[in-house]
Formats: sequence, structure tokens, C-alpha cells
Amino acid sequence: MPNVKVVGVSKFFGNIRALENINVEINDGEYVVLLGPSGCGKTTLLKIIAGMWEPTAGKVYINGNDVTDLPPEDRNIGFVFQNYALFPHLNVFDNTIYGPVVRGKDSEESRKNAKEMLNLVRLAARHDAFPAELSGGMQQRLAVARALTTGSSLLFLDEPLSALDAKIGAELRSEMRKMIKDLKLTAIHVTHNQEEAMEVADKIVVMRRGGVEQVGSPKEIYRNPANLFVAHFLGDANFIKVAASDYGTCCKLKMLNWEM
Amino acid sequence: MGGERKLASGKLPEMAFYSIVILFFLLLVFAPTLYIALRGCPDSNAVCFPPIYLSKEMGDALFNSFSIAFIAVVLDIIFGIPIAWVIARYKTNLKVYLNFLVDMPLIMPTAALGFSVALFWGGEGIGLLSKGFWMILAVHVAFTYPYIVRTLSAAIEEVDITYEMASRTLGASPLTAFRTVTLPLFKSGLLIAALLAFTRSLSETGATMMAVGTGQFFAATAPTQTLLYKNNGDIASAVSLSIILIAISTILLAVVRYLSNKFGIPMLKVYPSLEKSINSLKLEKNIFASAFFIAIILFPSFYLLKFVSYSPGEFGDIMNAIGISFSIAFVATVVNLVFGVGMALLIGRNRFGLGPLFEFLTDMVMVMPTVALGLSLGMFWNLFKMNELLVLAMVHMSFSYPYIVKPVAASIRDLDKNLEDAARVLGATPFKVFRTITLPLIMPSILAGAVMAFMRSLSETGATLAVSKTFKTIPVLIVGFVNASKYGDAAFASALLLGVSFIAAFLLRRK
Repeated sequence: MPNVKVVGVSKFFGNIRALENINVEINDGEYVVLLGPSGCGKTTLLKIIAGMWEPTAGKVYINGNDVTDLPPEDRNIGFVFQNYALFPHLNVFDNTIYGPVVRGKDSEESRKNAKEMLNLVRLAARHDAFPAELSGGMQQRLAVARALTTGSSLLFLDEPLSALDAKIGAELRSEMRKMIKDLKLTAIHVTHNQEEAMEVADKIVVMRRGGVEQVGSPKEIYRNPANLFVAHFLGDANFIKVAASDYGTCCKLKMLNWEM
Repeated sequence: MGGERKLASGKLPEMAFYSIVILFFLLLVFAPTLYIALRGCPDSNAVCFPPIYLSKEMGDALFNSFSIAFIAVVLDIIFGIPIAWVIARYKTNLKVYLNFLVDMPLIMPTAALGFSVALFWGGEGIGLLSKGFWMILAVHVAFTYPYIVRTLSAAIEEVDITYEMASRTLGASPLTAFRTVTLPLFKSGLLIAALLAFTRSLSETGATMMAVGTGQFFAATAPTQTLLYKNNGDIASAVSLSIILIAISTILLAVVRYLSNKFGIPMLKVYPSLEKSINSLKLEKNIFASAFFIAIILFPSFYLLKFVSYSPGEFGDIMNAIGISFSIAFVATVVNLVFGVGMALLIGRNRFGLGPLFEFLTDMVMVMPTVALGLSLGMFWNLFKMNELLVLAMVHMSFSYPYIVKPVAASIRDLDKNLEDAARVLGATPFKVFRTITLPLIMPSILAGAVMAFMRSLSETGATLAVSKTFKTIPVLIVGFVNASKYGDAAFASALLLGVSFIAAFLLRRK
């Protein structure tokens, strides 16, 4: 099981700062969620770790090896794209086995492996359908299966549920977490949906304007938000308006029927 | 109720508008081009089908035409894909320069371009080729190359780059990703590009004339052979060869359109280590393709500038020809703009379900060899004893018509229909929606189409030679100069025209 270390990563697009001095550590078998509002740099960070973009400064380590200059095909990762990027000209099975094929490992064993993976995501019956003929939920499951058939145990998920109906998304996310845990994978998942993050994550990295605001377990950051932004972003129940009812050397706070 | 009435009353002007557009196309553009197949009898007024026959001479010319077009297209695709890929995918300045350089041969009249390329390879230049088959091939590769690269880069740009990225994360090297994902996804673009370049090559006259030996000045390819028949007064043979050419082009078009939906590029075996090592040659590969482009296309295209010499005796003729060329191109483009945009709306919006039919008919005009088209139109309008200059303008209007309709129709198809609906909901009448929303959004493609049509008209030799007896457009004049071995004057006229076209293209591009 791999671990990932991001050290001092910054990314500039021209004069625009997308990320500044990010330091994140992800342990073996951990399910980490990068959480934040749109434009906070979470997808940029994910694509830098995956090797699609080069950081302006900083280093990325996978399993302790410096992979900063390695192209994505040499990082041995699985990546689930926001709109899945399923190859429209290949059927379900050919999409699933694409990874082994382009690596030159189109063997009996890899075909069996791909079939098992399709069984696991309940798509074996649709193995000769084309992506356009599948429902949104099936497409999502196929994207996960394709990413995992490479045999990688480091999985990247870029807003994997945002293209689905809220209800189907909510169903799939617990299923997805269970599968990732069963297969003992390390996962990095990007989302702007706090509910989703709370449910699937072992560890949440809250981001804002290209920086990290807080890192911790869902419970930790919910109970002990580091600042007003994190408290706000995690939900309304966290944040209660109070009125100061007495100004003395100490203050008296009045909240609903309670007085402190 | 109010809404219904409004829609109903809006229907009539719309029907009238499209009827005019369709009538214009059928009567003035399409029917005259097919006239040759119906009334080819030159000596009688009775309706008759012309006899069609194929002599050995015609067969040889057709064989030459097809083998040259085929080899040229294959070479163009092999060396065009890397350049098209750079233009479509790179975000650097290199893209801008390449884009501009690739367009350069397009603004050159094909006769001038053929002249220049023939000078470059021939005895006056590096002396590698003598006039004949291989020289014609070199010329055809040069003038079809921009068509391939343009169409291909547009097609590659349409394939979402995320697919390539997905392929890379699954372990494919950039080359493997391109071959297994991007290439199959733009195969129809590849087919269309190949068809366009193939039919342009099949149809070209002016450039070919520059590359055939003087002894057999005409008889080399099918279009030049047709012109030779016509000049010798053998109208029956000219008509027969023209009809064969038209029929073959139409069949080709139908086959390609059918194939572009059906055929797939199979995912062949992948050789990861080999493809990876080829990929590590990336830089060298790009340099090789660029070198091909510069050495085979760009440099030969402008070699004639070395030969420019000025002789006052011909200056009047040159200015006169430039005047005629530009007036005809201008009139043809303006008329086509008015009616062509209407046809583009009809095709792009698939009005009354007529879109596919008229798209096919427009394509038919586009792939038709211009000599055959000119011959047919000349015969048709001579029925009405029409003024020769006017006939010339009609001919140019016909063959440049598709160059406006096609890009505009494509951009109308891509237009988000919601924008128009939003404007309607906000209270705009259909005409107002067109003027304030649709027109501004499709303006770039209208301009691009107009430039293309204008350049095609300026550059055409074969169609002009097929109809005109007295009037000389600039490419015809250049052909005449070369024929009389007045290379300096030919180069001077070409350079002058090139300068004017260059400035016009530059001004339009800045807009």
C-alpha cells in the first residue's frame, strides 16, 4: 500500500496563484478527502500528484520516491475523472482492459482480472455495451473499475459523484468507500460536498484559496474547527448566532434560552 | 392564443425566405453544374443525353489524376498529422506561428504556387525533378497540404483532451494514447480532410499546367485533358470526360459520407516499449515534420520571388487581369454571402428536415472538378446568350458557394440553441434574435468562409479557362506567361497578387 507526501508545492498560472506552499502527508491505506469551495485549488493539487500538471515549485513523493518529474503513465496510479472520460469508441470490457493492453500485458490472466473487476462493480452483464448506453451510476462504476484494473493501489477520485443525482450519489459513496477499504487501497478524493466528505473520509484536508486551512479526521474538524471558515464550510449546525446581553468585566452570552 | 398567432404569422416570412434561398441554390448554383449531363449535345437544340465513352487517352489521364491525388493525400496525412497535432494541442507561441505559416500557401493562387514549386524542383532551382508525373505530384502535395492540416487540426481540437489524459493515467505513452484514443475519435475528421484534399487535387488545373512538360502541355491529368479537348474543338470528348469526372467525384463523396459513420479504426496490438521509445524521439519527430513542411511546402511555394523581374510592356495586361480577378471574386463572394448564410441556416438548423439533403448537394458542388463545372455552366448560360463576364462571375459563384456554406453551417450547428431561446423569452422577434444573437456569434466563421471563397475564386484557373474566350483573370495570364516562357513576368504578376492577397488576409485576420 502506497503513501504520498507533498512537500512545499506551489502552482502559478501566469500571475494567478492556484496553490501556495502545500504540505500534505497521506499514509498507507488512508482515505483522504480534499475538501473546499470551487476555485480553492483542490483539483489542481490532485492533478499535480497524479502527474498531469507540473508544480511551479515543490516535490511530490509516492512510496518515498521523488516522482515530481515523472509523467502520469509512469506513476502507476488509478484516476477517476469528473466526467469519467470513458472512451466512447470502446465497449465496457475494452474500456476496463485498456490499462493492461497499453502496458503490453494483454494476457489470459489480465482478462480474467478485468472480468472479476466488472463482477465487483456489477457490470459483467453489460460487458459489450458502449459507455453512452449506460446510466450515470453505471458509468461511474465503470470508471472506477477501469482505474483499478491497472493493479494500482493508489486511487485518485476527482469529484467522482458530482455528475450524478443526489440520491444515487449518496448510495454510491458508501458502496465506493466499502470497496476501497475491502481492496485495501489508498484513496485521494476531491469534492466540494461536505456531507460526502464526512461520510467517506478517514482524513479531511480543508482547502481555501490555494492553501490548507485544517487537516484532521471528520470528527476532529467538525468538533474543533480551526477557524470561522472551516466552521462555516462544514455546515450550519456548527455555527450558532449569539447575542451579548451584558457588558461587564466578563461577558454574558445569551443563546436561545441559555445564558452563559 | 397570442403566442400561437404570433408563431403562425412568423412562419410565412420564414417559408418565403427559405424558398428563395433554396431556389437560388437549385437554379443558379446546382442545376447549371449538372446541365452537362442532360444537354451535352453541342450542335443541336434538341434535348439529348450526350454519348459517354472512354478512350485510352482519357483512361491514362484519369489514371494519372487518381494516382497523383492518392499519393499526395497519403504524404499530406503522414506529414500533416504531427503539425496539426501541435497546432491543436500546444498552447505556446509556436502554435500561432505554425497556424500562420500553414495558411500561407492557401493565399497563393494555385497557378502561381505550381509555377513556383516547378521552378524550385526543376532546372531553374535545385534540378531534382524534370517536368512530368513526379513534378505534378510535388505541386499537388504543396497545394493540398494546407487543406489537410487545417481540417485535421480542427478535428483534433474537438476531441476532449481529458481522454488522452485518462489514457495516460492508465499507463499509455503519449503516442499510444494518441493512436488508441484520439485517432479513432477523429477518424471522420480524417476522412473528410482526405476527401477534401483528394478532390481538390483531382480538380486542379492551373497548378498542373505549370508542372507538365511543354511538349505535352495539356495532356497529363483529367482536367487538363478536358481543356485540351475543348481547345481542339472536340466538345464530345470534353463533355464525356467531364461527366465521368463528375460521376466519380459524386460516388467518392457518397462512399466517404457512408464510411465516416460506419468504419472504425481497430485497436491494433500495442507495443508499449517500442511506442515509448518512438515517443522519446518526440522532439526529433516534430523537427522532421517541420522540416518536411518547410522544405517541401513552404520554401518551394515562395521560390518564384527569386525570379521577379519587371517589364513595362506587360504591366497594363497584369493590372487589367488583377482588376477582372478581384471584381469577379468580390461579386461572387458578396452574392454567396447573402444566399449562402441562408442555406447554412437551413442546413445547420435542419429546417423542414432538408438539412442532410442540401448538405449533400452542397458537398457535391464542392467536390466537382472545376473544369467540368465551368464547361457545364458555360454551356448552360450560353443558352441565354449571356454576357461573357457575367457567365464568368456565375461560374465563380457556383464553385465558391460551398466554401461559405460549410463553415457557417458547422458553426450554426455548434451554437447553443438555448441562447436563442433565452432571447425569445426576453421578448426578441425571430429576426431580432438572428441580428443580435446568432449573427454576432457566427460572424467569425462567416468571415473565414468569405476569405476562403474569395481566395478560391482568385486562384481558380480551370473553370475560367473552360468558359472565357477573351477575358483573362490573373491565374490565366500567369499560365499564358509561363507558356510563352516569360518567367520574369509570371513571377512579377504572382508576387503582385501574393502581396495584395497577403495584405487582405492579414487585415481580415486582425479583426
